[in-house]
This record gives sequence, C-alpha cells and structure tokens, in this order.
Amino acid sequence: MTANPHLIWGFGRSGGDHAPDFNIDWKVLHKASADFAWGAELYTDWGKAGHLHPGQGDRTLYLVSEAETALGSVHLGIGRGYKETPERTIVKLVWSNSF
Amino acid sequence: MGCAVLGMAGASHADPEIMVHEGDLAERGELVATLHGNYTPKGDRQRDDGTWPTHRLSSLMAEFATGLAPGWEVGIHLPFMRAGIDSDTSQRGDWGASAVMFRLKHIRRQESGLFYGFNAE
Repeated sequence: MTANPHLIWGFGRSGGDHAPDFNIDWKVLHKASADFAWGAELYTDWGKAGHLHPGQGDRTLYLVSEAETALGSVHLGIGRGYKETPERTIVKLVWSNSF
Repeated sequence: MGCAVLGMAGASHADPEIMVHEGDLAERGELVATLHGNYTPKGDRQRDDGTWPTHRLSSLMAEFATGLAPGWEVGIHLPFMRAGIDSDTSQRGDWGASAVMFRLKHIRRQESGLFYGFNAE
C-alpha cells in the first residue's frame, strides 16, 4: 500500500490564490504471482493547502494491473472520474524497461 | 507495506503522468525508460482555463531516469498530447506539448519494509 501526498505550485500565472494545491494519491496492490499484480488507485484533490476540503474535491478511481514481461513491465489502468473531475472515463498504459 | 511520498511539483493542470510513486529507484549507471500513455474516451468538452478539453484527449509522455547515488534518482519527462475534439481552445488532431520536466526523487527504506521519501518536479 502506498500513499503520495502532493503539494503543487503553479508558476507563471498572475493574480489568484498562490497557495499550493494539495492532493493525495493512494495505491493498493495485490501480488497474485511473481509476475502479476492487480489492485486499485485513488487520486483525490483536497483543495488549497491552508483551506483544505478533504473528501469534497475531485477524485478518480482506477482498477489497475501490472505484469512483468520479457520486454519490460506493463501497467494498465481503467479509471472513472467523480465530482467535477474533467476526465469521466480514462484508460492508461505504462511501459517501463531498464538498460 | 505502507509508505508516504511527499511530492512537490512546479506545474499544475492536466498531468500526462498518472501514477503513484513507489519505492523503486534506478541504480547508478542504470537507465530506466518509461512510456506513459492515457486516453480519455469521455471527458469535458469545453474548458474555461485555456487548456484543451479532456474529451478524447490522448497523452503520451517519455520518461528517462537514472540513479545518482543510493536512494537518489533523477529523471526527465517529455510530455505530448493530441486534441480529441474541436472546441474554443482546441482543434481535433492537433498535437501539443507541455513543459519538459526534470525531477529528483529520494527514497528511504526501513528494515520493517516501510519506505518514505519525496519526489520534486
């Protein structure tokens, strides 16, 4: 299980609230075998640091799977956005290899 | 095992990299190449912040990382995107790019299996 709290500053924009955005991303993974795992990821928006609104912001939930192959590791996710998330349905694919 | 990674980023908005950072790091002298892709079959059709709508938006990002020292990794992100629809801020089929990003990642592992660290981009 992994949690990623984020502080995000945007530069180069005039006016507005300069407080950073605060998000927390979560991942739970079950290793079904040495080469395959599946689980879920949840990306949550808590609003501006300093006036947080936990549980009220946008969120996206993914079902994910990961596999080790001869050509590298592959991660596949299918996600659904809630609240005002711009992405209602989203799919992602990540390939990684080392040299 | 649970861990927490504090991430600090220098840019906001649509992120072509949709991932939870975990405890893996490239070794010194090792090059890790990663290709991130995502597609939004259903999303917003208009944006009022000047960015492209997410409906049918495709994102592709190449990432290269290498280890600096035990527990330290640097990387570079090269993000691209393709507009999915015509709108006030986009033309379907147009290609665009977000800013190139550099990142520094540090992970500390405990004997218990817990790990924590930070990732700054």
